[in-house]
This record gives sequence, C-alpha cells and structure tokens, in this order.
Amino acid sequence: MDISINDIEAFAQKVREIEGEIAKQMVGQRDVIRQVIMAMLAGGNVLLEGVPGLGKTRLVRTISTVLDLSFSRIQFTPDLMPADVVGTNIVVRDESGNSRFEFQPGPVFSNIVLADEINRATPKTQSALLEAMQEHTVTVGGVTRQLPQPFFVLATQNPIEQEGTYPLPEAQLDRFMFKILVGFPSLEELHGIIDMTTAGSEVKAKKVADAQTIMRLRSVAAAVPVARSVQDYALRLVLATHPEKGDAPQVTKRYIRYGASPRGAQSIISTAKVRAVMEGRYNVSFDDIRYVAYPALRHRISLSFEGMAEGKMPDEIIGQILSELEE
Amino acid sequence: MDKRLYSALKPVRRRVLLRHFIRYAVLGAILAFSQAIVWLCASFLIPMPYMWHKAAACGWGIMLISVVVGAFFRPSLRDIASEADRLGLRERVITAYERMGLEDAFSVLQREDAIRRLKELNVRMISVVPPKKLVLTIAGLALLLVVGSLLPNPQNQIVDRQIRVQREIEDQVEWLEDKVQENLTGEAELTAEEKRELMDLVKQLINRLKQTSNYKEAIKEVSKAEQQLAQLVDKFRQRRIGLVVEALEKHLLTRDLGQAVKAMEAQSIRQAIESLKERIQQGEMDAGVMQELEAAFKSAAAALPNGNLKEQLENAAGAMAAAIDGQSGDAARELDSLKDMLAYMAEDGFANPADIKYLLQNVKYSIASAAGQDARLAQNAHDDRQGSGSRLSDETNKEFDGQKENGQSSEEQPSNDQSSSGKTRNGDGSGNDGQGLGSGQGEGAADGTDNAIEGGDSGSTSAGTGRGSSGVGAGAGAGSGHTTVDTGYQGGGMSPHQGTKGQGNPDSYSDYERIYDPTRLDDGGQVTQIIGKPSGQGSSQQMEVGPGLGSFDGFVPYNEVFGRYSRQAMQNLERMDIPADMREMIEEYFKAIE
Repeated sequence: MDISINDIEAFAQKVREIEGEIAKQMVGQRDVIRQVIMAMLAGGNVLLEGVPGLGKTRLVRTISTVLDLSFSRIQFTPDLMPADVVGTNIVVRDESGNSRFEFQPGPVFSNIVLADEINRATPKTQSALLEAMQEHTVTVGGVTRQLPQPFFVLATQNPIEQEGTYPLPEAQLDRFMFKILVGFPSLEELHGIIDMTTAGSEVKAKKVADAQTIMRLRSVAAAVPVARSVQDYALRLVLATHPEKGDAPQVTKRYIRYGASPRGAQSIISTAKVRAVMEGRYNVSFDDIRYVAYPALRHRISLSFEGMAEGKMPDEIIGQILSELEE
Repeated sequence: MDKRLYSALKPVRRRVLLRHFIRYAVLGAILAFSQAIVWLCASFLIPMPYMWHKAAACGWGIMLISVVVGAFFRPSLRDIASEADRLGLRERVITAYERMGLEDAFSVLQREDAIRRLKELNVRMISVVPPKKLVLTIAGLALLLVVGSLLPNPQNQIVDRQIRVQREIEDQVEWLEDKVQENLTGEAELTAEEKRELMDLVKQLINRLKQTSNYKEAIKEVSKAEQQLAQLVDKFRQRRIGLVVEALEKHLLTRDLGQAVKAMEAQSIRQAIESLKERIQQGEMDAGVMQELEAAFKSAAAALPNGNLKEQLENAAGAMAAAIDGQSGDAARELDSLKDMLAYMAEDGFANPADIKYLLQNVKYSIASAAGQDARLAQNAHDDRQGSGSRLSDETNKEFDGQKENGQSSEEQPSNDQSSSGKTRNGDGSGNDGQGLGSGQGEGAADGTDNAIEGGDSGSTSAGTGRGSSGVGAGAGAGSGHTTVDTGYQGGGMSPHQGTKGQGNPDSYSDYERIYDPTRLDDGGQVTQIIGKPSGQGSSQQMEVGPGLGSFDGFVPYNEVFGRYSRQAMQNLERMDIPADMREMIEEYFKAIE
C-alpha cells in the first residue's frame, strides 16, 4: 500500500480524534487508552489487568463504538468450552428435509473481542483463542475460516482473585502485544467518573473511524523509519532480559527465569513506531522504545524464585535494565 | 550525502570536532604532565641534565601525538548525527542520515523534519569545556609538578656540573681543533706528514670527546691522547735522531758523536762535543779536518727536516767553515749550542711539537675544573682503576663524583685518595709535575719530587718519587704553577690560607685553591719551612719549599714563548676557577715580566 504524505500527516490528527472521543466516555486512564490504541494500530492484542470496576469493559466497548467495529464480549468461566468461543458445526435441516452441518460462528468472529476475565477459563478454552489471536483465523472441523479485519482481542484479568483461576500459559501471554495495567483512578478522576455516570446526562461517543481507516493507519505506522541504533537498542533490551546471556545485567541474572521472546522485540518496534507517529514524529526514538518497553515486556519475562520471593515486580526489573542499557 | 542535511549538520560538526580535539588535547596534557612528574621523580634519584627540556620535549610530543590520534579517531558524520540527536532531536538526524537517498514519503518528511530541527538547534548546547574530572586532574598534576620542582633536589648540583662539563667539553673541542690547526700551521719543525699524523690524533680525540659528557671519560680520553702523542712524538724524535746518527756516523770525526746520539746518552753527547771543541781550541784540527767536520754537520743538517736542530747543525757547519778562517770562538759557541740541543734531543727533546701537549693538558684541566675536580685527581682515579697494584673502592669513586658537592674549601688539607684497603700507593708524579694550571707555565720542571699522599684507613703517609717530564716550554726559568711537591698546595709562605682548616671534606683535593705567587717563581723568594698535616690527619710535618720550579734541563729563549704563555694565561684566567683575588696578581705578574 502506497503511503502519501497526506496519510502520514493525517495519522496524528485521526488518532487524536479517536482519543478525544474515547475520552468522552472514559475519565482518566489516558495512558491506558493510548496504549490500547497503540497496540491496536500495531495489529496486536491487549491484556488488561486490573481490579473490577475500573472501566476495562467500558473502554473496549467505547473503542468499538468510536471505531465503528463489531464487538463481542465473552465472559470466561470455568465451564466455558472452546466451541463457545470459536463456534461449532451444528446439524440443520433444510426445507427439503435434508440434514447437513452448518458452521455456527462463535463470538470470536468480531472485530473486537473482549475476553473478560480470561484467566477464569480452563487452559483448553483459553488456547482456543491462540490461533485467532496470532493467525486471525479459526479452524473448526478441519475448515479454517478468516476472522474479520481488523481483529483485536482485548482480554481482562483480575490480579487479586487467584482462587479458581487458571494462569495464562506463556504461549498465550506471548500473543498479547501489550499487557496494560489499569490503575485505580485518582480523586479528581473519580469525581469525573461519578459526575459522568450518575447525572443521567452521559455524552455519547461518535464514530470517527472505521475498519478501513484503521487498516490505513496500520499501514502508515508500519512504515515509520527506525534508525539502526534505535532498533539495536530495542533488541539489546530484549536480550538483556535473558539471564543466560553472559552480558546480561545483574538484575536479570538474579530475578528473571526466562526472558522475552523475539515476539517481544517485534511488539516493541511495532508499537514504538505507532507512538512516534502519534507524537507527530517521523522516526522512532529511544524514548519511544523506553515507553513501550514496560507494556511490551512485563508479561513476557518470567520471574525467578528469588524474584517472586522478594516480591519483585516486572516493571521494576525492566526499569533497572533500561537504566543500565546504553543507547 | 544530502547537501542540505550536511549543511544543516555543519555547525554541529564544527562544535563536536572542537570538543573532540579539546578532549584529546586535555588527555594529552594529562599524559604530558604525568610523564613530566615521572621525569621529576627520576631526577631525584639519578642526575638528569636538561631534565626540564627533555620533559617539555616529551610533553609536546605527547600532546602532538594526542592531537594526531584525535584526528585519526575523529567523530564520523554518523557520530555527529547521534550527537545532535542527544540535544533533544530524538533520533531525527541519525534516522535522516541513514535514510539519505530514499525518496518515499516518510523519508522525505523525516529528512525535512530533521533539517528544520537542526537549523533551530543552538549548537552552544554542545559544551566544549572538558569534563570537570579531567580539568581537576590536570590542575592536580600541575600542582604536583610545581611543588616537586620547588623541592630541593639533591641531584641538581651534579646535574649542574654535568652540564658545565658538557659545555666545557664542547668549548674545548672547538678551541682545541682551532688551536692545533693554528699551531701546526706555524710549526716549522714538523714535516707535512708529521703534521697530518698529529692532526689525525687530535681529530680522533675530538671525535671521542664529542661522544662523551662524563668528565672522567673525557679526561681519560685526553690522557689516552697524551699517551698516543708521547708515542708519536717519540717516533718523530727517533726518526730525527736516526737521520742525524746516520749522517754523523759516516764521518770518522763525528762517529763517536753519532754513536753517543744513537745511544741517546746526554753525557756521552756532551763529552763527544766537548772533545771536538777542545781539539779545535787546541788547534789540533787542520783545515782539512775542519772541512770534514763541516761536511759532517752539513750532511746531518741536510738529512733533517726544518727545525732548530737542523738550523743549529747548519750554524755549527758555518762556524766550522769560519774556524777554518781562524775564528774559533764562534765554533766553540756553536758547538756548545749544538751540544745542548743534541743532549736535549737525546733526553726528552721534541716533546711538545706545536704545543699540542700543553693544549691537551689545558683541555684536561679545563674539563676537570668545570667538573670542580682537580685534573690530577681525576687522572689518578682513572689510573688507579686501571692499575693492578691498588684499587679504589666504589665508595671512593663515589667520593670522586660527589666530593665537589661538599662545596666548602679546606685550603690547608692536602687531599687523600682513600683506599678501602688502606693500601699505600706510591705516587708516580710523572707528567704532572709543575704543570701550571691554565697558564701552562712551569712545564719545565723535571725530576721533581712528588709526595703522593695516601690517607687510607690508617692515615699513613708514604712518599713516592717520580720523574717529571722535561719541559721545553718554560724559558729562562720563568714558570708559574705550583711546585712539584704536593705540599706546595698548602699555601706555605705567601698563602693567606695557611693553617686554616676548611669545613669541607678534608680528603678532597678539589677543595684546594690553586695559588700562583709570582714572588716565589724563578730564582726569587726565600726558602720556606712549611708545617702542616699533608693528609689532614696524623702528625704534623715540616717541609722545605724552595722558590721556583727547580732546575731546568732544557729551555727555550724566553722571548719565544712569553707571548704564547701570556696569552694562554689570560685566556685561562677566564676559563678556570682561579680565585678572583689571585687573577689580578697573575695579570700583574705577566705585565711585570713583559
């Protein structure tokens, strides 16, 4: 796809519009919104982690509204079956009385899929999303079906309630471009939330983009140039999360069991490009890398026993690695 | 490279390069100061002439190398682009640099963005001031260097002496070459071949002197040259004697004389000539015999190269011819002269052609004097090291090196060579007897007695008798310089320093002042009884010091040498460490005898 100067210059404007419309429905959480948009425009899926009631579902719904995309919500429960997610073949009888199998699409066949409390489902059900998230296809009964484009999975999980949950396997986690931590709003933001939701005069968000626009924006973001030194920095960052590397920082060797995969590096570069162009720049900077490093890597590094015992948080370790990594 | 991007990057490039070179210069300066400190520290341990010059030269060299290395490792355009990005351009410039030549929409927009931001950039944000740590390091090193240079350095005196010696050697080398050349040109007694041989000898010495800055080595070289000169001169003398002998032996009348000359026995020569003279005076020789005698002298004169002997032989031949005419008086006088000249030739004659011997001695004394040493002491130290009979301990050698540093004179105390073994060394006294320091006067002293005083551990004293070189220089008994006896140094008689004990090393020869007292030269003055401790230790001794330089076996007319000696004296007055109050006395002396 050819990209014109107009497309590039319109990018930041369009993203601002999207952000602005989402902000009408969401009070605060600007970084969360921004990071979700970054991941979406980079073509990735997002895992939102936060306690209930912080507006995760509302955010996803608002995004689907603003972007004019189809939206499905799947509430993950222990008895949820894979077929409940991807769909299944059912026997139907036609007017002539003949029976045949017909594919009944599951909720995954939407542009935006909200996998609510994804860690409550069994690993078998969770893995039903793997192909959809990575290949944007679903295979049922030996037939592979393409999902609508653009396709995003926005999963949520509750970090507190661990009883009766199934932690996401590494393979599943790795398919999320970002893991975004939804923090508790500030007092000011709470005032805004209360004012907006209890006054009965809630402002509706407008549609400012559609699937085609999103695809266009994706193409523009992918073309953002990255200097070799910047790319090198990102890759060295990923390597620095691997404790088995001889030149890994001490913090890595001590607190990390497994480092980030190459998919982590792809996520960093892709989302850094989006951030650059969102900020009106035409190139990726070291700052972009540093900004996206946290949401891109925090779910990709596996803490060692020592790290868990000392209560280390992945963000803390990533920060330390970044501080030691030379540009 | 994209011209617009390059143009926009230029100010940044200039600034970055400036900072780069300043840093390299600062690093160079740190290295330069560090090496200067190393030089300084080393200079406290070992004497280093021109240490600051060397340190400065090395420092500048290091600075230059630093800048050259800086130029070699100067930042590339990529580095400069990255540097610009660090000023808040957020990788715009490096990206534009990498995407030069690409014309897709992003590359074009990105490049324009980078150029615009570069033009807005204030390059003064790139600080050219070296890091504080480096500046503090330089300041610390400089302070260390200043403090170090202010500390008293025990090697400074040695260094000063070495420099003095080196300069003196350079001066002497130049002076010697000129002087020898000049003297040889005016020297009528030498053949061209002999002049060339002498000149070669001097040139070899000059070459060797140029390669040394150590005064002992220099004196050693001069001494070697003196020995070679003596051999060469002896060869010349033998050649002349051979020619005379050959001519005289051909004639029956002069055969005895020829054999006496051949045997180089002065007494026999005198007897043979006296015999001839007697026969002439008694009229025993008729005209035919006289003619034969005349022919013998003529043939001997003809065989010789130009010179006094040739002239004297011709004079004698002329006198013989005159005697045939009845004028026997001239013949007797000429025969007397010939007798003296042949006797002189047989004994020690022709010892100092073109004054080279004195010039070498002058060089030796000048170098020793510049080193604050007595040339004889330096020579003796050298001789002792080479000799098998006695040795000097390392400590003694060290003392030779360092004794002048004591600086205090001890006029009364004769110096000793302290032998670690306490072994007694008999003084040889050869060659140095009666050498006038600087003035060259008094070389005529012969057969002098030299009390070489050896303190040793026991402080015992022994005396040795040596044979001095027969002088050809001092005429009519005039000669300055100290006597052949060491005790003459003690300033007996006229010396105002008699009995005064100095604060310096009492065993140091160099602590003596050399005193020239015209009233005690020649035949004037009184015999003086001197009481003192020749070695500075042990019991007092009483010695008798007579006036003058003693007897002269050979002499040359006063007016032939006076001018040269006087000039040399005046030159050396400036050159040597003669006490100021003595200079006037020496000048007056020469004026008085003019």
